[in-house]
Amino acid sequence: MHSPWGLAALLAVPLIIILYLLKQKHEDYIISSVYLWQNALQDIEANAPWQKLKKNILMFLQIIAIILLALLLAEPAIKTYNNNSGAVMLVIDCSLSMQSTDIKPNRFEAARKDAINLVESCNSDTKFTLIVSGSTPQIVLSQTNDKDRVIQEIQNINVSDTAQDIEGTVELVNSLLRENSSIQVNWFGDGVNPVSLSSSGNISNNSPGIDSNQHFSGDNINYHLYNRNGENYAVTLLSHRKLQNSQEIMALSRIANFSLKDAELDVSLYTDGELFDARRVKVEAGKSENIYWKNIPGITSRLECRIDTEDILDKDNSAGLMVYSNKVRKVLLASVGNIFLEKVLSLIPDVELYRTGAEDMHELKGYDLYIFDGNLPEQLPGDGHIILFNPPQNKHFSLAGKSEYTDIRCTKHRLYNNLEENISFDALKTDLYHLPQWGNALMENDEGIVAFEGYLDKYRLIVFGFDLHETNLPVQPFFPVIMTRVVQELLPGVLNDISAVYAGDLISLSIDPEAREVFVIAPDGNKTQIAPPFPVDVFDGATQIGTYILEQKFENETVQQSFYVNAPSEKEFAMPESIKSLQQDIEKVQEHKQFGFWDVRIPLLILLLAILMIEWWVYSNGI
Amino acid sequence: MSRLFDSRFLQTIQQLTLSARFSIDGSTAGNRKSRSKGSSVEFSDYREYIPGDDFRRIDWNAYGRFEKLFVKLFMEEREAPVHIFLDVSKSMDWGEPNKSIASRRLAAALAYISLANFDRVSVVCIDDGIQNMCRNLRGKNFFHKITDVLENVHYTGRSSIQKSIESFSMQMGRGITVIISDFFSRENLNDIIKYLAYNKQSIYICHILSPQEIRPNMNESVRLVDSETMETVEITVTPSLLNSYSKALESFKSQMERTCMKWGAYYLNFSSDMDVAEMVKEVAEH
Repeated sequence: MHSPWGLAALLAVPLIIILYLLKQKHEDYIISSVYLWQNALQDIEANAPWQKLKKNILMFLQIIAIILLALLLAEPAIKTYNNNSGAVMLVIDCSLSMQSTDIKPNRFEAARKDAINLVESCNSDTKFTLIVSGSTPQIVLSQTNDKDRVIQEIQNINVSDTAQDIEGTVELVNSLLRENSSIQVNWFGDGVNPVSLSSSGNISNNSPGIDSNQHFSGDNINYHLYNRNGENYAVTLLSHRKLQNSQEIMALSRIANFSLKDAELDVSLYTDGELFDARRVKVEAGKSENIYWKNIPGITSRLECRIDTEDILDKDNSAGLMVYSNKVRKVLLASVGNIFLEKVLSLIPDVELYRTGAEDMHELKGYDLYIFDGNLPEQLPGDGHIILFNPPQNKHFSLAGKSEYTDIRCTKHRLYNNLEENISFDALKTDLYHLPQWGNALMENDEGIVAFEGYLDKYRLIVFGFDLHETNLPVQPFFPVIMTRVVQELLPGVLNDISAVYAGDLISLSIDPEAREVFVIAPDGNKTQIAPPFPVDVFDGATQIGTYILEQKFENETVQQSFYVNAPSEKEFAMPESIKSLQQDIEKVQEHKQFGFWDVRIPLLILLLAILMIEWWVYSNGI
Repeated sequence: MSRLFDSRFLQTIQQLTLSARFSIDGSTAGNRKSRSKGSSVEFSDYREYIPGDDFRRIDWNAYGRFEKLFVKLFMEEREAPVHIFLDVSKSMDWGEPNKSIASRRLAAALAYISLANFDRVSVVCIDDGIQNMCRNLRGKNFFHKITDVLENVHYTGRSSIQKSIESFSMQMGRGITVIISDFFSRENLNDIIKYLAYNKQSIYICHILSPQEIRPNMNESVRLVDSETMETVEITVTPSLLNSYSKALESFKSQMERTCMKWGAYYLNFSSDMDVAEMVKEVAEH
């Protein structure tokens, strides 16, 4: 029942009965004799008022008509679930957007309830597979016919703050469908329908970024949509920059409007918990607006941008970031002279650059980062991370060959996140390497690996096989970006790409090589030890929105640093236009059957008309 | 001539006299003439003399010709007293066509046929007693007396057939009694017929009902009021009730028919929308 208030029309039923009882006032009709009628009445009990009502077909037709009308007003729906296969797959979206409250109490709870109802309505021998689709899809249960356990597991699902990995989920579902194509898939979600009917009648994947050759074959897929297009606004970006030679900070926040209507939003910026400034900004439907906040005091350690306009999802209405202290990092550049590197390093804030020649590379110590350009000491320094350009042969990794006049491409590595794809440049010559077991490729050409990174014992090492002077990399627009990221990746205690940490992301934490133990404390207070063992690669536990604390224990002290994890709204809500129109189509189709129910209003309406026609016929024929 | 018995009606019943006749003992082709042969002016047949026959009936001319004794047989002529009891209670003044018209026309037609056959005809209008009557009329010339009586009846009282018949001093000997009524009087028909059979009557029970009594056409909830007793019955007409009524009517008629068969009476069932010729024909066929 979508509108249970419609059942109030049933109050008319007793009214009709009362009217008919009142109507029972008989008119006198003189006949020759009542003798035969008395005999006739002996056979049937027709004297009591109720018995008379019982025989009144008109009244019953009217009561039926009223009941049908009440049902119509109540917008009834019948479960259409029909499991012929005996195998059911439940895919439940538990991402951030499922916390939206446009469906009460929220989308996730509604989906959970419907999923449990569906399980309960299945046969006892039905085999269930339960997949929870969050930042990564997880198979919680596989091929079990224990309904109680399935319901228990559904009740145990916690909705997360992360974005949904719809691509991974589709791949997982597809792989399971390939094993058993008769499984009936029930997808409970709020985003784009990953399955929609194509013109050929097959079910194809229409999700953004998903290979079009991925198909759900067969017609046994139900998509239960929980989305009423409520108004949602979000702070999708908050970043800052300390102005040179100034004690001021400039912040940038991006305000997105994910609703279908333009909106005028009140946005506030808080510095260390105090209101600093407030703006009113107009954001068109489906668009975003940037707000620059200037003259923020340089001593500020924490920024938070907040939308004060209410919407269906509160969690993405604010974003925060930590402004790290001006701890100066010492970087040693060992080179015969590299103007490109020197220039780039000088642009990176809080970096103090030291230069040295190849002849002074004995007993190197006391730097946070060592950059060796065309040389390498016999003994690697023991207290900092290392970047190597065009290194000589050594015992730490092996040369695979050389390449000349070559086109070098960047690999898919998180170092290049948010940069354009297929970054490449030309090199006059470069070394090629066998990728060590501890390494991850950073650059490659057609013949092999050109650059890689990894942990060598406790220290991070990044190796580039070319001399910058023999490439056109320094003149590329992305050169300073890449080099800044490379340096930030290695500077201890600083989060890499701190402005872009979202719930569910894998976070690269640059751990101080001297740290003995490393912990991460989540916003809910849970403390997770992430090291030892060393090296620490990426942290995958940032699934909550809020402030995390990175705690590093050294021999004599414990250092805590905070970092913000923000809502992954852009990934969760933003969709290409084509997908939006597809979603609208889906919503139109499923407007009244979004819970996987069959809308029975049309059959009821036909039945009502039939009843009215029968009543008219009965009345006109005096039956 | 009044509307009830117009010239067309008279024409009809005159034609009926040629084909329709009553017989006293009810045999098939009897008509008014008795099968018992006796002394009469109308010659019937010859048969050989057997000892014990009246010598006076020997046809001596035949003996001269055939040298055998033959006895002349003659039709014995009897006056058949015909009693027509017409129910004129209130219940008979109902229906469309009205039962009072159909019943009086039937009575008049039967009376006319009997008069035409030189029977002695008595027409008795009864309700809870004898309301009006004319008795022992012979010859068509007295038909107007009968129509006078029939035209001047009042349908007001309750019917009591047995009481009324018993109060009529019936002529002794064989005769014909016709009772025309709807028989809603709730009397025991068995007693009535038994009484008439005891009086050596050939009995014709003409049960006349209106079409509305045979197939009620009410379609509302009504309070039915009995025209004679003013008793009331509240009903809501439904198909099942009508079905039950139909069964009650059939049971009523079959009960009467069984009673008639038991005493050798004839049960004739009429609807007031039937033509009088049809009704007379049915009577005559019995």
